[in-house]
Amino acid sequence: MRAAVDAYRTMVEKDLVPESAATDNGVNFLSFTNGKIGQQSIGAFSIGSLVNDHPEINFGVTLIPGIEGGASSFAGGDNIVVTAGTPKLSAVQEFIEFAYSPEGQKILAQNGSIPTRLDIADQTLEGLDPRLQVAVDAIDVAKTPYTLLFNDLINSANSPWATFTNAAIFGDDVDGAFATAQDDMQAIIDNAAP
Amino acid sequence: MTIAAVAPVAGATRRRSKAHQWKGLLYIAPAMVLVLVFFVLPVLFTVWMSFHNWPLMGQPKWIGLRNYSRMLSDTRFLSAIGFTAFYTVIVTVAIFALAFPLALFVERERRGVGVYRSIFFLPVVVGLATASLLWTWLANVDSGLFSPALRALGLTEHSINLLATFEGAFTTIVVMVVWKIVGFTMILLLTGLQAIPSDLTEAARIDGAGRWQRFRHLTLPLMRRTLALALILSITGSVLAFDQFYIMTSGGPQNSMISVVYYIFNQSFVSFHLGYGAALSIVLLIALVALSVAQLWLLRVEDER
Amino acid sequence: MANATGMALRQVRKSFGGHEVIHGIDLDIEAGEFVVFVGPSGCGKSTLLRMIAGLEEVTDGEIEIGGRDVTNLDPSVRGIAMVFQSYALYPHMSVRDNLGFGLKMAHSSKGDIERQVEAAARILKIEALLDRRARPALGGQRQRVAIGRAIVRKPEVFLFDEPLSNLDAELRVSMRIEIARLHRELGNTMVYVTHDQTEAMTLADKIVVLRDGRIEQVGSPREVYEDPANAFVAGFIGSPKMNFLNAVAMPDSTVTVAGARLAPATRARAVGPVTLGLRPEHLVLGPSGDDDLPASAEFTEYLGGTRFLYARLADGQSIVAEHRDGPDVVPGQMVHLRCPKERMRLFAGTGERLR
Repeated sequence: MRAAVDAYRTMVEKDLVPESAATDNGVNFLSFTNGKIGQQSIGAFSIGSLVNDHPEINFGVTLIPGIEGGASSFAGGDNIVVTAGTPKLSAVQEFIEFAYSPEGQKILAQNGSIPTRLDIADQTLEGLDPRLQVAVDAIDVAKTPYTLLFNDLINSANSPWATFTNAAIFGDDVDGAFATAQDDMQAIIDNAAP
Repeated sequence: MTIAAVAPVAGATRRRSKAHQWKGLLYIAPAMVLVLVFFVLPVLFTVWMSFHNWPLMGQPKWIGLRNYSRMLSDTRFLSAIGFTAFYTVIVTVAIFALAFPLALFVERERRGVGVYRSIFFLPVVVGLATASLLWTWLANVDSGLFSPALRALGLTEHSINLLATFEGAFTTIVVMVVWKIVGFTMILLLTGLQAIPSDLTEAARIDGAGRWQRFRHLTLPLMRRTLALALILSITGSVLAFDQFYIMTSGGPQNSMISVVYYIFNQSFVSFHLGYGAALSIVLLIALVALSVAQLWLLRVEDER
Repeated sequence: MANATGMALRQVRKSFGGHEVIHGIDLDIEAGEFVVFVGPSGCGKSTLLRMIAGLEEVTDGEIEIGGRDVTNLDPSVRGIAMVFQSYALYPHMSVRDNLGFGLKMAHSSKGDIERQVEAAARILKIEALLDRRARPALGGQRQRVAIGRAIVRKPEVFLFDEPLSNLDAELRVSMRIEIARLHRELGNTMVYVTHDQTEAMTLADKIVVLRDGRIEQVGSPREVYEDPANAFVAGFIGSPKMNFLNAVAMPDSTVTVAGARLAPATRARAVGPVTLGLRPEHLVLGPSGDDDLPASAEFTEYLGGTRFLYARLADGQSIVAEHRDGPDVVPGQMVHLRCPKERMRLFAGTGERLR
């Protein structure tokens, strides 16, 4: 992780990163679509939307390259949540089974979603855009961080993770950024325990 | 309309005055209902929530004062208080330092004074969120106004991202807020200035008081009430600041501009600690009331007998 | 007389935005004189006073106080003090601080301020008020404080801008006497603006009658009353107002009014129409004869000590007469009015006095 941070810092130092990157809060998340960007690190879900919504864009996909060769990725996803005590449990069950059936997977993939069942991925992606295959390959090398506090720790604009990436890449004190992020994350986890 | 001419009997008069009181209650009832429904009840409910661990989904659990005791060791909350206090002081000083000269400038009847007043007041009618968005664009490093302008003028070598550092972003926000608010404070101060009879100023001129002495010994003391009002409005507004930080910097860079309200928002609607957010809100409410009482007391005007 | 200083205005003019309101005033004021500017509202008397005070810029001309040209000096260094109609007390200060404000601005020592404030308070008998907040309840007391503040400045010239207008009738009389006493005791030059001719007549050594930014007449109260320069002054000074009757000057130096023939002591310069001025208080009711003005009574006002009779001459001109003695007159009754011939005044159609 240190090496990755250093790589990013080097890019900033060499003036390869636009000034606006330091305050990019994700408003222009998929800036790929305006055709002005050459390369973007982004979640695999965007492959589907580019394929379906922007057939005019010519793009290639690859895994994020590692510092010393190899590739990396992390896998997360959206959840199906069932509220406690619902009287329609059997209908929900039926829907989930359908979503994970070969037929359901196919429908999801056709609409730009990445296949979730690796065992039938080949079957699911058959006849679809080959670039979606990269997403399936990513799952092989992906790590999956797991927490109930994902929003607080990672996703929110004021999360320790968001603060950390900015501080580590654009700030002056990399060690401090690591230490602060560690402490802040721990504090959030500690406070969440009821 | 007819007026019945009834000979007033002692009993009738009393009955009528009682009916009169009921009628008075009836007239203020709508206002009372509004205050009750939209202020008193929500505050009471917030107090009730603050004694609970109250998640967005799931069952609230009574935890007594634990939400309150948690604040004392919540470093993020304490730093939010520190930042809010810092911001309040800077912004209030900046607004008054500019609003007073402006008020003095537009008080005197001169050519085009109406135009000046309108120009200074115009930003006030823009919403704070709208103004924030406007200034976010103005401060944008690539497509905005300030950075490219500075660069075009040769003052900076390449475009500087104003919002990327605390100093730059904080200055930009303070300037934006002053631009947005100063006209309102100016109008308030102007009414105070205009309430001072010109005879007093002239008497002071004859008494040999110079411009500054007149301001110090006459204008300021006679404007105590106006100043108290303007100060309370300004400080309350600053303590409750949220929109500009949320919109312009998302609390950044690196969470350095999380105000108290921003923190309450995050706790309540990002982390879904609704009980803790409620407790923080109650503490903020008490702090604001205390601040206002303190200011009124400092700027009190003794009853003139 | 301590501190008494003369004053002079030389061709003083004032314009507001190109519109001239004071048209070249020349006036000399002797040291220690009490001068009253009087005139109807809008005549420029207050503007003129404010120009002397330095509160209004002088468009043209020169103002001298004690031989010193003060035209462009700051109000505070002109050697004047001013008392305003509104009192203009500093509402947030005690009476003591109000009185001492000017000295404080001049950086006088604390002991000095104390002494002078006490002295002024003694003159005005307001020692008891000193440590109260400003705004004594009574207008009279407020006006005393305002005058006290002027005294503390030890000015060469006192300026008063309608100082008694906000007081009720009774207080106005007593404060008027107070101001007269103050002038006697201090001996300063005082300039006083009022629209009230009683104040003007009782206080002034010299009355300046103003109209439309011009001086109509300067003179002692007796001079402006008995020897008015024109019909305006004659009509403005005196109450009830002088009767102005349309008359015709005859070759034999008599005048005819409504068919009656009168013989004033002065004679008109030429034969023809003139205005005959008769003061109500100089008219006497009497039996018919050949030198009287017959008039039919319309109504009377009974004022206790005196009565005003409103009547109409044969040609319809109205006339007012004051009478104290004799039986009451009833409406519709014919009366015969006489005036001593040296009291009759003749004016040309332009208002100019004929002597």
